[in-house]
Amino acid sequence: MITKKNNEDTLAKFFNIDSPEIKNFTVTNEGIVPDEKHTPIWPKLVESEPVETEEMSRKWKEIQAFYRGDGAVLDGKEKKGLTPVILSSFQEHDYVSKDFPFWINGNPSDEVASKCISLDDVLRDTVDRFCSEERKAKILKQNLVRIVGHCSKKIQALDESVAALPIVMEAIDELKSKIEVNGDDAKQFEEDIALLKSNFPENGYLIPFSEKTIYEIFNRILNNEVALKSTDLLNTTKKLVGKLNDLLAVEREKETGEKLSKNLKSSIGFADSLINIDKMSSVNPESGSELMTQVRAERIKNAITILEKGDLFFEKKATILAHKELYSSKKTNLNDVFSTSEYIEFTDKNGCEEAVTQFNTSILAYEKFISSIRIAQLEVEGKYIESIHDAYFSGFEWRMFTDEEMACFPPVILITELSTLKSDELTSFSKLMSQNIPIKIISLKRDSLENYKKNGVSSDATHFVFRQELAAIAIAHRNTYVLQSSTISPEYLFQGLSEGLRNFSPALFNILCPSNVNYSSPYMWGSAAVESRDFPQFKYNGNLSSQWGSRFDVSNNPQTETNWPLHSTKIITSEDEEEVWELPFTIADYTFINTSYSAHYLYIDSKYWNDKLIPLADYLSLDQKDVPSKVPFIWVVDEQSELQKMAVSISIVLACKERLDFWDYLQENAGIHNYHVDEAIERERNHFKSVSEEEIAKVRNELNEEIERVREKTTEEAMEKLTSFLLDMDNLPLTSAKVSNSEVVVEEKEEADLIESTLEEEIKEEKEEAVIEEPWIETPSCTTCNECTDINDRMFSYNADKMAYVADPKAGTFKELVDAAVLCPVHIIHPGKPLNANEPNLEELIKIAEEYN
Amino acid sequence: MFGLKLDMACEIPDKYYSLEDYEKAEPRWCPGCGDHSVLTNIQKLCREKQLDPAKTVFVSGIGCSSRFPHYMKTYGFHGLHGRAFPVASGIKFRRPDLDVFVITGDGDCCSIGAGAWVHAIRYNINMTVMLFNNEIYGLTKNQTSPTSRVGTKSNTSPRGSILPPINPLQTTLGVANVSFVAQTVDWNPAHLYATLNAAHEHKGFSFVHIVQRCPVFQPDLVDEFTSGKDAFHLIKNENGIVLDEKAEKTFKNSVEHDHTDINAARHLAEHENGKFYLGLLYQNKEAQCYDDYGAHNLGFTAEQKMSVLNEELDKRAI
Ligand SMILES: Cc1ncc(C[n+]2csc(CCOP(=O)(O)OP(=O)(O)O)c2C)c(N)n1
Ligand code: SF4
Ligand code: SF4
Ligand SMILES: [Mg+2]
Repeated sequence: MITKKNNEDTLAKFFNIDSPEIKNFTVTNEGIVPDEKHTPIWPKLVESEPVETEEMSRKWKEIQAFYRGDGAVLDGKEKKGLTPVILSSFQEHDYVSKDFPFWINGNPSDEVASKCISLDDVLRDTVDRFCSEERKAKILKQNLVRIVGHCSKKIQALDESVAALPIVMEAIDELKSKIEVNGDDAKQFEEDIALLKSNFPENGYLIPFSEKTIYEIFNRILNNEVALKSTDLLNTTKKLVGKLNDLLAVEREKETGEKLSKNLKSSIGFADSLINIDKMSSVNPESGSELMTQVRAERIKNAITILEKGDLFFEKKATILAHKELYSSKKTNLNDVFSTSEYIEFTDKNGCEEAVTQFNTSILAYEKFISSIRIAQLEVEGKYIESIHDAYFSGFEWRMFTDEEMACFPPVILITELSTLKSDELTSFSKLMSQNIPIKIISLKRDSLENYKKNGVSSDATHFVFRQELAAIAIAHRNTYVLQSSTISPEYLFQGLSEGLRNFSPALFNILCPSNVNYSSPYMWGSAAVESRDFPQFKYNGNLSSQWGSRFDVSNNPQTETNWPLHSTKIITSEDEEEVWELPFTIADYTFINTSYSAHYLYIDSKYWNDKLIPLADYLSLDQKDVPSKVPFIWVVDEQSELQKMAVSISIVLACKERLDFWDYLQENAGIHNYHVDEAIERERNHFKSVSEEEIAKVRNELNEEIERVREKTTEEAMEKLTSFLLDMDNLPLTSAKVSNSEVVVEEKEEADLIESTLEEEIKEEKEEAVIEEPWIETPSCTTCNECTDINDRMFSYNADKMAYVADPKAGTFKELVDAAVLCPVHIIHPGKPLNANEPNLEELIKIAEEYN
Repeated sequence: MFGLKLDMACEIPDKYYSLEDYEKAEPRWCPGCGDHSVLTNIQKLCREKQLDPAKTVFVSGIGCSSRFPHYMKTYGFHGLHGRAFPVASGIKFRRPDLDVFVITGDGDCCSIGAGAWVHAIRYNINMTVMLFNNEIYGLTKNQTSPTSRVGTKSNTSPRGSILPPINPLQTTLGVANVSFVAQTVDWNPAHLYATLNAAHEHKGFSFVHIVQRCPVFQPDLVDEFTSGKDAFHLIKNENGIVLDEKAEKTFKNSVEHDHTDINAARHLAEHENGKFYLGLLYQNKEAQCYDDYGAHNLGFTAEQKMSVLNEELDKRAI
């Protein structure tokens, strides 16, 4: 008998409640519920009946008061867990994009030293290099993301840059051990893995996304760039020292009469096997009889002493200054990150001034070093003229360096907070920029509040202030390098930093470093800051050609053509229909994710929705006269995935306007929607329009006249013809026109036939030529019917896609090949010519084979 | 969003399924049978989509073609003659998480199973259906089927059949709530694959009519099919089934067709002048899916279900 209890068990099994994860469904104690992570739940619009007029107008008085910033606290249900619509799909996950970890080439002498790409791309590049028509490495390619994932987890936990190779190798092994692949695919996969391992670039570093990203990148650039250049300079220096020593040796010989060759040998060293030094010493131009002056000898000795110590300049890759408090509370230890540079911490001092002082000190010795190189060069060539050069070298300073000489100087770098530069240090910052001192400043922005709290928005709208844009201020100094970037764009950042470092000019790197100060997902915050135009990214290079436009670039922003980036989102209407909405991502959406601004948003229940409540982007483009009584809102999604309207206060509206204004400024400077260009185009268009209208009128007139003329003429002709026709009616060749027509047709047809037959011949020839001796199968057309493999499964085999190919033509007889060709239901087996001339019945078989070749 | 991509959150299973993971037993179809080709292409589709074999079910009726589930290393249900659809519908209705494929023959579907077929179309439950049409009963060794052409000689009509054949495309197109109808042939792997893929992608009852060769009992047809390239016209539409250039070249003729137009589809289905139109004939993404309403009470606990069941039983207690 079936009891209630055991029946329940059976049922439970039937409904699979105890089955582990079911795709797209989660098994809970309550049963199986759709898994929200997998099934996209589109935001749903739920509308309700508007309230009575009286209630409406009461509520709207409150809403308008809120808008004006009266701080009215309204009733209505508390709404929690709201997200701007565009961000809602990203909300659940702690995102770090595929850009991370990213890889920087660690081999400075490598041509691709300037390369910085995501690990994902390095892996794909590496695989692509050994892929071909035959080797598609499909499984490996599909699973590269796992390697990235493994490395990412590992490196994110370490929170510092590390050599890429060991971690990547480990991840590849992990992939191999974890993924189960069977059969033919397994062999392929194993080979592909081995190839990936042997081809992955040896030298490189992986950098995680964190607060330290900026330092890690910068440190790698310093090591690559400065190291590479100083090597060249040091080689030159060494050669010069050798030559100077030779000069002195010659001099000593002249004094003592000693044979020169011994001393020269010492300096040339290895080369004595190649050069006849005895002979050389007798032809050396310096071996004249006149002795070197004491002053000159001193100058040369002096230069040698300085040049010999040249290595010391490059022991440290840079001098880095930072305020002690910058990191006092953080775990980041800049000293560790910049271990190959000199790191100086200061307190209670003006960072910019400190950097200038530091620069002046370090450059002094370097000036001596460079001037010694130049003196050495002149001396070696015997071109040092004291009357000219003494004065030149006594006044020699860094501004007289060449670009290369400057580039080798271990740069002085100031790391500071954006807010410090904008307030206390603005004057010294500007001074530094205008003096053209090639100090590189990294200014950090780690908090989104700074702007609005102090300058932009406050609860009192009258406090509205235009934001100080430090990067724009720096650009105004013209001969500068300016980069404004977020660490979420590592490639852009890397290129900008390298370029700025290479330049013989002061540089400002204004960097947004998302940290988890205010947001649980710093990456999303950084992303939203760029998306909302709160922190646009751009580059300015004052060293580029004289045309202003060519120096400035804003391309690394989303949808540079629009005011706000637009995103399509699917929503479900209240009639249960799917609709696609285009929504802008505005400053209001950006500040909404920061709880500090919650006083600037007001939840409006759908019963109070009316036409006075309008979308923010539309509100911003309203004519001033239409603004009164209207209140802007943004769309948000609540925890039930229902769409809600949040009214936005005037402070946020002003912030939007302020940010749009700055974005306009950047766009115009970058040549997007440029006022002057647009004006000029409009002018030209109008001009062209009026000119062309005139032209058209003229042509039309001429045409009309022509038509008139032709009409008159043809009427005359027609009349004439008609008359002669009537007169000659008796002997009119009625069919003449027709005959000539059909003649043409015949000719055309003949021609077409000719073309076709030549074509056919060509094809035939091609086919004949294409007869190949070797047997083969048109594998892509194989229907896997087993006919051929049943005849001889060593001769015919299936590939990884289970389609037949000739595996070994010698594994069977020509007869088997021909039989298979005959049997193959899709006629794709071509038996070729017999390989064994002694097979019986060959003649007959060859004849059959011909049909299939 | 700047720097943010949705696919970054995707989780990938640790197992990579290769062709072998979908292969089971040596197929016992005759050499040269069109069924082999469909099997291989289905296995490839599974691999391409990395379908979890434990979450995939092949359901069939009876016939040569209906042996299909035995050769798939997934779940399978070799059902009763003509009853593949009710079984498949039941599975999908209660277990929406499973991927359901149906294999049926011209005898299985258009003869004994015709009643179930009609209603399965109308219910439009999400499954991929393959009708293997060899115009004959193969398994039982050569009997005239409802799709056999007039004049077909077989054990049941030794002097040639006399009734005009059912056109499965036309029949399917004639049923209310039809949502996906496509036609392909077993001997053009590229087209076959693309069609099966499109069918699998469609949500609803995706009906694929496969013109299938039976070299044993329909040798003349096989010759006619494989030599008569002119008869096969490729249906082209950028929103329909799109072939790559190479595969497209295997067709001599093609025709542009709007697969949302049911009358145009019926016209193509008619095989006028012996022409076969291959590709997507008709699709309606908006058709009602009965399974949308089926899985709702999966949220009930076993206890709740039991109480409802008992309540019902109690009503009938004597
Ligand atoms: C209820 C019932 N009636 C009849 C049969 C006999 N029978 C087995 S297969 C078959 C026809 C199969 O033809 P088709 O569906 O076209 O499959 P094919 O073998 O051609 O692939 C029949 C009538 C059966 N198995 N069960
Ligand atoms: S006989 Fe032809 S179709 Fe069949 S498996 Fe061999 S090559 Fe492929
Ligand atoms: S009898 Fe026909 S349909 Fe059946 S397996 Fe053989 S060839 Fe295929
Ligand atoms: Mg059949």
